[in-house]
Order: sequence, then C-alpha cells, then structure tokens
Amino acid sequence: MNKVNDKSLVSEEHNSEFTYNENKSNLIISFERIAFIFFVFFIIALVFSSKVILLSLEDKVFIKKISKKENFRSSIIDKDGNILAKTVPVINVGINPNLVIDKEKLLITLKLLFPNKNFKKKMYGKKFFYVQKKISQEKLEKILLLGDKSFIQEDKIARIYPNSKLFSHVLGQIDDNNNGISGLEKTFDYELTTSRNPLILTLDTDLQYLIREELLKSKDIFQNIGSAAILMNINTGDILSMISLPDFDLNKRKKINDLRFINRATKGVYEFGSVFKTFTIAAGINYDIIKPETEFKELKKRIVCANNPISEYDDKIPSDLTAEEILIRSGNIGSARIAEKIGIDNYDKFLQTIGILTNISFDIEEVGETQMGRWGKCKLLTIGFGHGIATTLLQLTKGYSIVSNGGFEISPTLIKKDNYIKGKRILNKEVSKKLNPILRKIVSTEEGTAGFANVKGYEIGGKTGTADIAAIGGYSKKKINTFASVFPTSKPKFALVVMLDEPKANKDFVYNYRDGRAPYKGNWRNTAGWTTVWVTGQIIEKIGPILATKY
Amino acid sequence: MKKLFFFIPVIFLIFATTFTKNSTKKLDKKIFDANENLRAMHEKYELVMLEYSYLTSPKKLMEYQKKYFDNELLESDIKNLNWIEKKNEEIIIKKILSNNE
Repeated sequence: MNKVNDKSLVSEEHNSEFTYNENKSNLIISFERIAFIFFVFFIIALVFSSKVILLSLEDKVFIKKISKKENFRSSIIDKDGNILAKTVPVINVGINPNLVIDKEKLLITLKLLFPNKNFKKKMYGKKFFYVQKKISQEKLEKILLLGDKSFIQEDKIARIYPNSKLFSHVLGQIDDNNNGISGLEKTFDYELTTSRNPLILTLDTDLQYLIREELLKSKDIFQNIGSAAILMNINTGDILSMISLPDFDLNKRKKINDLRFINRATKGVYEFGSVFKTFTIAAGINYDIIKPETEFKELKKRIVCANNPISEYDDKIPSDLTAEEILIRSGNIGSARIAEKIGIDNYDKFLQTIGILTNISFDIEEVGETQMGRWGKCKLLTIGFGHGIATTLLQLTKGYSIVSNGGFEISPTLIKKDNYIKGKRILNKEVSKKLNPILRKIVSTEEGTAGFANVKGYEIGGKTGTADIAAIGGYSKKKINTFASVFPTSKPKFALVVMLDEPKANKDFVYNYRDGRAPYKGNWRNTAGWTTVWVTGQIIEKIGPILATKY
Repeated sequence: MKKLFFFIPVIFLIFATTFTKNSTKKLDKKIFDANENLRAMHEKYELVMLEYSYLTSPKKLMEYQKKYFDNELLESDIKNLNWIEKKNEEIIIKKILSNNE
C-alpha cells in the first residue's frame, strides 16, 4: 500500500511538474517573439512595397534622376533644322602633384605652355588641380609629348550654343555632370540623355533674332529694365518665338541668381492692365450678356468702391458708349460696368476656361502662377479693367489666342509635333466673330490706342495695357506697358504679345505715324500706345514678310 | 549503308554551316565597318552642321550684310511679291498679303 502510495505520490509530483506554470509561460514568450519578428518583417516589407508602388506611380522625371547618366546629350534644333544646342567631346587635363618627379622643372614647362597661368601654389598645396579645361588639340599634343605620368586626362562633354544669348531662357543650362538645371535642358533631361534623336522645337531662329533686335532697340529708346515677347500660332499653340530680356550667354555657363534675369515671358507675374478689357467683353459676348452694340449710358468719370477710387484715364471719354466703343477707347468705368453685368460666377468661369486662372502646363519649369485676391464686388470691377489680377505673359497670349481663334482650346508648346489634334471648342463661336473686328478697330481707327502698329497689309488687331507697378501700400509710378495683338484679323493666325518692363517716356524720340501725318517729336505719355505699340509695329514690319511667305 | 545515308547529310550540313558562317563573318565585318564609318561620318556631319548653323545664324548674316553688301542689298516691299500657282496649264497669280485693306 505504501508502495502504491509512493507511486501515487510520484505520479502527483510528475503531474505537478508537467503542469508547471513556468514552462507554459516560456512557450507563450517564444510565440510572442516569433510574432514580434514576423511583425517587424511585415512592417519592413510593407514599407518597401509601398515605396515600390509609389515609385511606379511617380512621374517619370523622378525615376530619370536615379538612372545612370551617359556622357552624351542629344542636340536641340529649331523647326528648320538649325542647331540650337550641341554636345561636343572635350578633354580636361589635370595634374596630381604627388606623382610629379621634378616639380620645379614641370613648373617651368607649364609656364612655357600656359604663360598666363601660375601653377606654383597649386603644385605645392593641392592633391589635384586642372591645368586646362576644354583643352585644344594642339596643347594636348604638346602635353602628351612631355611624357609625364602625373598628367591626368578626363573625357568630358561641352554644350555649345551657336546662337549664344538668343534662346537663353528657353533652352536653359546644364551643370558639369550633364544634368539639365533649367529650361528645356531640365525638362527634357531624360530624353536628351537617352535618345539619339534631336529635340525639335517650334521656334524659328530668324523670327527670334528679329524680335530680339527690336526689343534691344526699344531699351535704347525707352530705357526699360526688361522686356518680353511671345509669338504664337493661335490655331496650334506652336510658339514661334519667345524672348525675355535681359538674357545671358549660355556658352559662359554662369550661375544666374539675379532676379533681373527672370524669364519675363513665363515666370514673371504682372498686372497687365487694360489688355484684360478684351476678356471682359469676350466674357460678356460668350454668355450672351452683351453685344458689341449694347449701349451703356451716363457712365461716370469716377466711382468709388470700398473707399478705392476707380476713374477714367482720359476725362474726354464720352459718357454714353457702346460695348465696342468701351473697348476701343479703353474705358475703365464702362469695363467695370460690363464686368458687373457678367457677375462673379460667369467671369470666374470664363477666366478659368481660357487658362488665366488655371495653372498652365508648359514645356519649361520656370512658370509663374496667376495671383489675385478673393473674388468680391470690388475685385470684379477692378478685374473688369485689368487691375487686381497678375498673370504671366504666356497665359495672356494663350487667352488672346483662344478668344480670337474661334474659341478653340490650345496648349502653348515649344516642342514640334507630327500631328496636331484640333482642340475642342470651349467658347461660343460668336466671341471671335464679334471681337476680332473690334480689336482691328483699336489699331486702325483714330479713336483706338494702337495706331503705331497699323502695318499695312497685315490686318493687325490688338489691345493696349498700361499698368502701374504695385508697391507697398499702393501703386508706384513705374509702368508695365503691354500690347497684345492678333493678325490677320479677317482670319487670325498669329498672336504677338509684347511687354516692356518699366519703360520711360522719351522726349527726344521722333514718331513716324503710319497714316501719313507729319512726324511727331517728343513724348511725355508713358503709355503702351506710345511705347509697346510702336515696338510691336517695328517687329511686325520685320517679321511680317517671313510670316506671310513661310507660314 | 544506312549509316552512310545518315553521315553524308550530316557532313554536308557541317560543311555548309562552316561555309555560311565563314561568308557571313566577312559580311558581319563589312556591316560593322560600314556602321563605324557611318557613325564617324554622322559625327563629322553634325560638326559641319554646327559650323553651318553658326555661320548662317541671323547675327552672322547681318554682319556679312553690313560688311560686304551694305549698299547692294535692297529691301523688297512685301506688297510687290506674289504667289504663282499653276492649275491645269493656267497660271494664277495671288497676292501674298490679304486684299482686305
């Protein structure tokens, strides 16, 4: 019995050992550890998977950056095949002073080869220095003949721009490692470094040169600090010329941080003033709110909105005007009244439709954004005559193209395409039909403000805009003078928008009228009509024959 | 006999392959040489085009005009220029600029 009891005791001890809590607890800990490790790996896998998914959804440009760069870059050519940018192989020669056997002797030899350079400091203070970058074949051969092993050759590429300054803002620059850092060189960095085919642009070198020359002349006459011009085919969106002054020599490859060199055609955001009145009339016609012959009676010379006065530029402007006359005479109060009739919702929708209030998708990254405060009653009135809204010259050109091309959507582009798909109609077809003759009258009639652009034969139409530049707490006396033109108005094909930044009136300049009147000397009016319109007239006179025969 | 019928085509095929490979090797070399020549010529052509683009750039042309033809080149009035079209043996002359004005 005792034995049985003993056995029973052992059995109980065994049971007790078997159900020992500590063991059970060990099992739970090890399971939690595995679960924890699994969890960690799961999180890591999740993070990497999401990154992979993100990369696949990411814009190609991002992936382009991590791909390896070849020592190659395709050419950029204009629409006629003229080379605008080309890469040529170059050799940089440097020295590793640690490998030099006789430093003094080498310094004498280098002095003979490069009399204008002094290498003494570098020879004794550096581990490596360049003797000459982009060395000529002749000098390279002389160095090779020395047979010195301390010379190190580096095969690099150099970007050559045969037109130096002519396309500076458009083409942009590359850095020492063949990376595009601005302009088309940046946007099309991947294509240029992977494709052997040249990048073909819509730009025309001859037109670009002629327009730039006239803008440079304008600087001498009106002392403007900068200027810009865009010439665009209003049916395709092809930009034939895009200039911003001052420009810079691409071959010198300097870092451009100075704001004076901003791309005034695409990046600079300006209040353009009365050129917006065209959009006010166009919006009115588009929503069938006004017709060109709609009369506006008893227009005041001055109104006040939220304590801010709105007045006419010219007090002689009649009090009773039709919508057409308001645009021709550039009436501020009349335009504000039309905007009031259109209403905030319609005007906002219209500006969105023609691309003034939407961000523009363009071929270069240096693009500005339209700035305006919140819509309100006074904002509607001021935008009606072009104040209180700042936009880019590119968006202005696009807007003018749409209102005059029959109301078809276009996308401004610098890249030549094989096939063009006509955009859908986004405005009422009556807009262009009724607006283009009014724009023509602004140039061709005595009441209009743009007589200096009436170059015979080309049927120029357009609208002037003289705007004061905003300053702290109001406006300064400095001006932005703009002229937005379309031609020929009977069947519009081109839009040319020219802007002068801070021009000054020239009292000694002699104006030759285009209607046969005697020349006029001395001008104190710093308005677009007396500055930008004159420049535009000169430009069209020069480029007109090319446009008429080539396009 | 069966073996003979089997080996003769095999030997023939071996010889044919050797012969073809040998001849295509020469052809391959020719193609490679041609491609290399083309590449070199293309590079040369691009450099010549670069030089051409520079020498015929508007800036250069205006320089030449001032230097060599200052008083010889006359500006033509666009109003005096016309398009000539030949339609069914009939010659049609059209004004370049619009007649609306």
